[in-house]
Amino acid sequence: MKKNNFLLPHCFQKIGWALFIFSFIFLGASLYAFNKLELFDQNYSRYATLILYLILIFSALFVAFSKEKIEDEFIQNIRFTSIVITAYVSFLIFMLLWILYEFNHSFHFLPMDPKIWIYLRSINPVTMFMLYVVIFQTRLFISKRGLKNEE
Amino acid sequence: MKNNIRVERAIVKISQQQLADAIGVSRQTINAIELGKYVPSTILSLKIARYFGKPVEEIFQLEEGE
Repeated sequence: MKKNNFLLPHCFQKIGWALFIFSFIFLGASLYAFNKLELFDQNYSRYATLILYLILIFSALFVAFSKEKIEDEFIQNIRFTSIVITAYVSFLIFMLLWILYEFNHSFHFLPMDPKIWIYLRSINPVTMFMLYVVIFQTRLFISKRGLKNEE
Repeated sequence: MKNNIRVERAIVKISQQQLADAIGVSRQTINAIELGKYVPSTILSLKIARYFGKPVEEIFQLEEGE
């Protein structure tokens, strides 16, 4: 049953995590340095931020799409259902935010200040990969939890 | 679908991990199959049956209404 399922080798998972944490911290620090402290000129900060964002997205991709230690059909089944659940949850979050935003237009529960509605951009490839990783690892953990009672 | 894998394992006195290693899958797979949470593919069920030296129908049975 050795078929290609388009996943990266297992070592990419650790590399992905390391890169993700690194770029996350670095991105936070650099955004602070560029915006609040205004250390560098516009062009430099633009490209530096872009590169860091790209590393962030790619590392999330590495973590999400690398093989587990043993890749068998059960894991593939879990992976497939995790992707479907991720799609549903992402869609739901996005629709709820959008409806809330339009609702707020008429009734003004929250201020219309654009900075608050940055959450409309919360469903994007990076967060969807992260959501997939959370859902996949959760279901994996649940399936492993049943092993404790066995010999 | 019901299966007798747990019984067959007890007859041969091996653990889930040993069965998993012999067939080439993870221990979660064997555990999920035994608990009825996962229906194995044809290849996997044939491998399991071959390991125990029995026909597939003796290990896996359809339930009423399936």
